[in-house]
Amino acid sequence: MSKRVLIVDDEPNILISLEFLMKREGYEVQVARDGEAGWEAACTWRPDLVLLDVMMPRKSGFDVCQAIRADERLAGMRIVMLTAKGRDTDVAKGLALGADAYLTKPFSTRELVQRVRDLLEDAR
Amino acid sequence: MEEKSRSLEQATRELRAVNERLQELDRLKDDFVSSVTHELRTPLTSIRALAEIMRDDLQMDAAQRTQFLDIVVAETERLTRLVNQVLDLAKIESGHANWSDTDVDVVAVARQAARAAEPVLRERGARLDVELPDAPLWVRADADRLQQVLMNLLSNAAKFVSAERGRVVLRVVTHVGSGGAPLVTVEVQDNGPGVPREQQPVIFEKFRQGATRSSGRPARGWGCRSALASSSILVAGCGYDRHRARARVSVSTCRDAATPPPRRPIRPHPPAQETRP
Repeated sequence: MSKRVLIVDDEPNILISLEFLMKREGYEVQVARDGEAGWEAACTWRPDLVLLDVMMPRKSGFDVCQAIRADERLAGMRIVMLTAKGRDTDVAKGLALGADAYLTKPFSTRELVQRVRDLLEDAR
Repeated sequence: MEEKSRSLEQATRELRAVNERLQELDRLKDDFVSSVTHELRTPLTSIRALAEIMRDDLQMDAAQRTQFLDIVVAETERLTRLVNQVLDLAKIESGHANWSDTDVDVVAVARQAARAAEPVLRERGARLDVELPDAPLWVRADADRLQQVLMNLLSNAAKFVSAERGRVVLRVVTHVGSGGAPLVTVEVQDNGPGVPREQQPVIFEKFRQGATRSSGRPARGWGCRSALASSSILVAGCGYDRHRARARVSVSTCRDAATPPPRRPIRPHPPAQETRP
């Protein structure tokens, strides 16, 4: 069964590119356009990995990450945070909240694909 | 002696206040740079990702490739607009801003801004209601700058309303100001989370980052866009009264439908024969 990847970002064009990229890798993909919708999808659809933007309306990526980590039912879910804010403090915060990886926008798609692949391999 | 001591204490208090203000400005400037960086990186992300996807997939079908290339072009245009806006702000800072006031029909400008912002609103699934008078309303302003301000406010509103449930209103209203002079107000209103009451007086200040009610943290894009919006008004030479004596045009936003914004006036005046540079 193919792995599930949830993409949460409020930028439609970034969603389009990431959705194409993840589907091309053979993953089953769902998208959410803000933090609240992302959190709901994480709870109901139970993806194996979440690509999570940080700055979003309604609920930030940090909030979603924290909520996922605080919920035992979602244990083991991989989280890759994607942000256009690349300051060291932001990276540190994301990792401290339990993200597995943190990529700064604009990122290399090859690097992103590799990170996702590695994390999903480890999750087996 | 006592007198000297009092005056020294007073001087110390004043210095402390100035120091605190400078530190606050420094922090706001850092936040502003961070916000601008974010705004610039976002279109770059789509451009890079789609370019790499196309590079790595030479067999991609033509329709898909065309869709991606269209996005790349659109994001490049967005990037250009952002860079131009930042340059505008830099010009204002250095006192080299130029504006060109003419007699402008504010209703027509509002209509054009609504048309230009429509794709952004549609993308977000937000509904735009335009409430404009039938007759033209003439003001003295830089039409391009005024339109840019309205577009900034509309696209900012689009970002903060809930996806698929958003409603944005662009409204031009006339009323009577103090002394009986006719006034015009342009309002952009939305049903997003709103700007906290205590922040409402300062959201158009340079470098200011807003905070949404829901998250309490700086909201994406807001600080940058509001600074740019106000700066554009300044470029138009028609900003807030406190900035320029000959100010005539202001634009207000309201995120909280329950508390309408203070109305800041545009004073209409009949088309003049001559135009001011």
